[in-house]
Amino acid sequence: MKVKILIGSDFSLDKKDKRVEAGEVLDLPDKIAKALIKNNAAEKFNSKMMKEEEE
Amino acid sequence: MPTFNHGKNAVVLLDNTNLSTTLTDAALSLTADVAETSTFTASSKTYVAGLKDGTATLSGYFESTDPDADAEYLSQLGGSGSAFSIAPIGYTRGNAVSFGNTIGTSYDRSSDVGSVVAVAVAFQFDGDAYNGKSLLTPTSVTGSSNEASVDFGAAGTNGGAGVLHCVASSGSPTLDVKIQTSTDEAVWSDYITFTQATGTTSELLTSATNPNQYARAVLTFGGTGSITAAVGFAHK
Repeated sequence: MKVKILIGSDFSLDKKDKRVEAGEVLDLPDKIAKALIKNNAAEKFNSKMMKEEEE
Repeated sequence: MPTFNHGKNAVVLLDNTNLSTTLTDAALSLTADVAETSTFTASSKTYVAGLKDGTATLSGYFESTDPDADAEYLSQLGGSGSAFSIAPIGYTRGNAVSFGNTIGTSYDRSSDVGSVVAVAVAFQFDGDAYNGKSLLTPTSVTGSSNEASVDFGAAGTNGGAGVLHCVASSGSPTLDVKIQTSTDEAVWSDYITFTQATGTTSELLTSATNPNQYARAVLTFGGTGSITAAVGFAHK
């Protein structure tokens, strides 16, 4: 799932520690993406947001 | 079956000083005003809750060297307020900690020909008194780490507050402390980031964002030597 990071966060991905920072747009495994959204630390990145980023 | 705790393990941290080894009594008093709303025809008095308040009183022995509690008390008396934490059963991770910004309101020193020079001090909480848990017992930090998580039972609904006390340092260290929260103890998001410590210091920070159920302290150490730090966290 593609998400936009709102708050810097840490998690384990492929057995490695991963740090993501606010503003990054990332394609993450659903489980991690959903946990970030539940933490209020990310939002689902949709096509409308993509257009806004391009502008 | 209740589990009772002996008072001997209490820890009191004021600004950048661990006062525990100089104290024999520490008391926290939290109060809430009520305003009466009783009217004609009522058969019992009724009230609405008003403002909360808090005070702390400490007593123990006079010490001006290790730690220099005397200087700490004098600097706090009538000052602008500093971070204060009291852990009634000790500052072990997960134990109850109450903290807030306090102003010193009295400092008594008494000498008796037959006993140790004693002190008694009183503090007024300036703003909220936060009641939470320890995320880091006073620890000499020499490296970076993600501390073990503490379960707060549920997510917060009214923001949160964190406190950092750095009570000793040696060498030329730097210490960056963050509090992170999580819903699952696997994905951790930044919640409070303290100013980088380069020596003894204290800081109390609040956030209006609702914290998740689990919290941990993240320590990033740099430079040389060590910093002895303690971290507390509370849901408002």
